[in-house]
Amino acid sequence: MFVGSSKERFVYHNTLLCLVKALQGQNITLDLRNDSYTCGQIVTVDGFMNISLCSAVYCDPQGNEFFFENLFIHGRNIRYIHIPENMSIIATIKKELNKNKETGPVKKPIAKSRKNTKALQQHMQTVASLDL
Amino acid sequence: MADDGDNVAVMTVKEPLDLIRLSLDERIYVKMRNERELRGKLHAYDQHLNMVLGDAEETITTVEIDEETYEEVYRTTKRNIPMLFVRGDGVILVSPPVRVGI
Repeated sequence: MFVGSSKERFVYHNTLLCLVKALQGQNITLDLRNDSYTCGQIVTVDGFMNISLCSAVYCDPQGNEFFFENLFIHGRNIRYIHIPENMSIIATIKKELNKNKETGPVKKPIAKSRKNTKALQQHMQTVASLDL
Repeated sequence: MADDGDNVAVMTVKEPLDLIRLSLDERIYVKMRNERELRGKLHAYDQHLNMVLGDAEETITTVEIDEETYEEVYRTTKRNIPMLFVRGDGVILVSPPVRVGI
């Protein structure tokens, strides 16, 4: 289940963010806005496409390499994400969104009070009596 | 009902993003910020213009000033990426492939 504010959840379900989320656990390369790039294993992705990586190598524009045990990338600084070649995009998105459906919270029907039931009955009667 | 007049089987362009939908699974041209261009097969896109391009070719154009003649020298570097996710905020324009009979 995707954790985050309602806005983050909206973005996750309505944009390609779910595809990025599906890359969790994989080793990928990110190209950043300042011409640097970083490679590592994706740990988490949030609703702003902020990505945290583990055992990551960061390469700055001059070509120096730095190793980080854990690395957080601000979503705005991402230019490209290199996706594994053999991945099927549509299938991955469907799988990712269905995964959430199964584990999603089951909404219990809210038990209505006698007062509510009566009011609803009366309302339905009124509607029925209206000559529509 | 309204709009029954153009109830055609052909998908029509009602909003700008529909033009991009027509380009799905076709090679498109994307102009990016920082003098970057992409050509690739459009696999997916969303409202932010995040895109997934297959067999993408990125062209980076850099301008250098010649030390002696002080002329601007444009240098392009190209690279190929088999599958690329493009974050939408860097996109300037998307151009569908040239089609016959529009």
